Amino acid sequence: MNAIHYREIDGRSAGFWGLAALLLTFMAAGATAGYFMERIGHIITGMTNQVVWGMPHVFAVFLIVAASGALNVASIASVFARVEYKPLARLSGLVAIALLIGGLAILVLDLGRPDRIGLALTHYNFRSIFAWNIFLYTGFIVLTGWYLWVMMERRLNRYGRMVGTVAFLWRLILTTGTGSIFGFLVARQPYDEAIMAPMFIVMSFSFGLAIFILVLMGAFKGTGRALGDQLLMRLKNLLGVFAAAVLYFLLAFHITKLYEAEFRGSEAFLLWNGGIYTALFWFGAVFLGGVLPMLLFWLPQTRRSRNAVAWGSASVVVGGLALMYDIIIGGQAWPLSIFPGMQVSSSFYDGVVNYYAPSLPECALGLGGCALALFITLFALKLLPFLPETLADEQGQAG
Amino acid sequence: MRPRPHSEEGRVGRSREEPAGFEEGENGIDEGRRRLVGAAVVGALVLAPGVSLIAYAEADGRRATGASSKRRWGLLIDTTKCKPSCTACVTACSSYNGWKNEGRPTDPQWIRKVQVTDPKTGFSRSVPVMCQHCANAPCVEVCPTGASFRRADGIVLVDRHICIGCRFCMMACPYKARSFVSENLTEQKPWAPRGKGTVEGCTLCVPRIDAGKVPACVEACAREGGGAMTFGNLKDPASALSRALAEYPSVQLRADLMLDPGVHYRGL
Amino acid sequence: MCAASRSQRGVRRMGDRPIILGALALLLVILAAPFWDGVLAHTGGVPPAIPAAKGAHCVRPTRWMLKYHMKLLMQLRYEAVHEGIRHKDESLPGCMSCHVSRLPDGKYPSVTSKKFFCNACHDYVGVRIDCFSCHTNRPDAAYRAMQEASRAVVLAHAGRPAAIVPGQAVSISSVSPRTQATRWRSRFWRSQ
Repeated sequence: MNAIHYREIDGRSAGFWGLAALLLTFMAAGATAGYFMERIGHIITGMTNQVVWGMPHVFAVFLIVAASGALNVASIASVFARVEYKPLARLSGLVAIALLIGGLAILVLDLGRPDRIGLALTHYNFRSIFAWNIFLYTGFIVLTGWYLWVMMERRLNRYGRMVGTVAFLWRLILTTGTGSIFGFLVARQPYDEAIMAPMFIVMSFSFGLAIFILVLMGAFKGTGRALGDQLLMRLKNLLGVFAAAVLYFLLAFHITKLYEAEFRGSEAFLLWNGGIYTALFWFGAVFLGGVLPMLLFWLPQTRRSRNAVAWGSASVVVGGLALMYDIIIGGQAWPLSIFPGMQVSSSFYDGVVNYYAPSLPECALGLGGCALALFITLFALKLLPFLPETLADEQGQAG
Repeated sequence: MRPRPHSEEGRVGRSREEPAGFEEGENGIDEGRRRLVGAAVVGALVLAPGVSLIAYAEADGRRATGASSKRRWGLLIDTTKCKPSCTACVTACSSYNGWKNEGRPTDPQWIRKVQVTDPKTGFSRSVPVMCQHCANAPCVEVCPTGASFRRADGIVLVDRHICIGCRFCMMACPYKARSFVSENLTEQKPWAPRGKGTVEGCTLCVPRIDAGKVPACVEACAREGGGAMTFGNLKDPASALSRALAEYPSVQLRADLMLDPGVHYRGL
Repeated sequence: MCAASRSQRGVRRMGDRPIILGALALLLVILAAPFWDGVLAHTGGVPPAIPAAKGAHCVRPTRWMLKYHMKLLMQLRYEAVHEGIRHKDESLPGCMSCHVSRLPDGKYPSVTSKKFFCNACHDYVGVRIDCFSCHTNRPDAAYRAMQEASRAVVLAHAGRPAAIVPGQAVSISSVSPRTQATRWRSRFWRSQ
């Protein structure tokens, strides 16, 4: 394979600055929302004592999960030695870091006391999966930064495989940690399954790659660089497989739950009569996140279309957000089972399906985090040579 | 893991300024304090609701400082004596600790009456539910900063000085015992500081316990309610609580989770 | 192609550098906000008048408290919250009972007012505290009674009387806070 030439994007066009301004607007809205959530309190959000994690967590967990998945392209190139992915490795590392920072920014601004974030670094409870995640997230940023450095500095290139392997293992542990936040919750029937950790890993493969493809296509289109069909089709096939794997894990997860009588109430709620949550699961997670992309990617009519790749990836992203909403909010909407098998009522919303409606500040905060991730990506592309000058298909490089 | 504030600077200069003769023994202040505190401390006692612990403590003559692992405070709630219409415990908790529930979903409720009905038989009971002060408390396990902690005497608390408001403990609690303060508060009680951005819940009226009294709910239940609540030391086999638990059947909520709550229920 | 792109790159870099450096400088200025806050707080500041306290003396000598009150409070907080050791006077509400009185209009000073004991100094030195978003900022008779009843603490006060004349406002003389801190420090250590 020929040497790859990387070059910064020019970043002087009206489109570039327009996009930057748009992203900055969303970031400003997110920061404003965070400020008021801190000053006035979470009363301005839809989150309550029943639904304690809301829209910010949907976005944050989605971004954090996608971050580790975005690194996969780099891992495939260096850990699994697939040279055809090598030109994409730098961008993959960059998108991974950017998404993680975006997600963490949301999480931090949603804290009740974001001013005390320093405490999270000085006071550790090592039995807490949350505390472990603080290590895992910061470690991921450091490792991926190191990985990028090794990839971009020619003298260090030979360490690429080693650092890449460490980063790959780290991202697996990281997503295990993220999934375990929910998997460890014995209190709530919709969670509390060990399968949530591997399920989150597979979700990360799918969401991360979908975002990566969209960023890749956008960047190449915006800069007028050549992006070969061969490479894109290869990425698309991979995404289709990942989307199918997510469906498989969802199936295994819900079949297990349905088999146990204890969980049938919550399962019926999520899968059958839960209103918005049922709709989000079937239409969002299953159809948009899995079935539609697979159809777009593999139906004879659309399998060769670049537009289908873009639409399919976008569909995976939307489906992924729907799945996150379903897992995080739907899981809390189902009431706790303090007295199993009994009918309960109280002045504290015991025994009722909890109501949640996201408020504008929450959504602004979540979107602000997404905008931050894209903004970091955009300006990093301008400052450092992440993007190859061309990814046109080469002769003699068979797929 | 957390450094204790006074390990570094010693007793913050106190030892330098103590009058001669105050320091006793190798441990100086701690030893001295233990003696001075002595008389006040609540030993392992037989307790009837509403009766001050102090008298017993003095008679008992035992000494210890603050929360001691020789005790584990617990409750027995006899639901057969709990009337559905009575909310004495809830009102007492609310007025003592200064929280208000106006029915909004963001309002706190440290203790609540849950009407529990068996759909198969129609059998119904009114059950006060609050923090169960578990031995293996999930809220303590999941808290990233260690703000959610269990005192030596088994009381599960939030140190709101180091709570960052992540609400993971609320996700982890099977009893819905915790609330998050979503707005600015004023007029807090001096003994029950609480504020925006942190998580709170039943403290078993820890300032009252440290002052040798029983929790406000227990006192109110004995005074205005059906006398359904017995408070005491689970580790003392001679306490009224331990004897009652040994004599009659009782259950813990969600006992299948093996969290070993400090609150026991009879008649469920 | 390489030559062309490189020259293009050179031109672009030259144009962008001032913008990037300027943005970085601005970021530094913004990140140093606490520092500017402190600078602004000290310009033209009038040394605060400290509201008078009730009682004969503080739980520690005044000069000691000036420097170490936070350490004492942190220790008391740890003991009270984690160990259940509650002192009679040595607690934040205990401080309030001596250091906060009603204003002539019968109300207690608000925590943001310079008439509020803690804020008088903290406002001057630009150190923000958040104690009173949770804790009460006024004396409370019921609390006092409870602490008395508890008798859970009986630590004797420091033997030395503090240099406070009862009923008289303590004013910090008109030297800069930094000089004062130095003086207190040296006096404190000399007195040991």
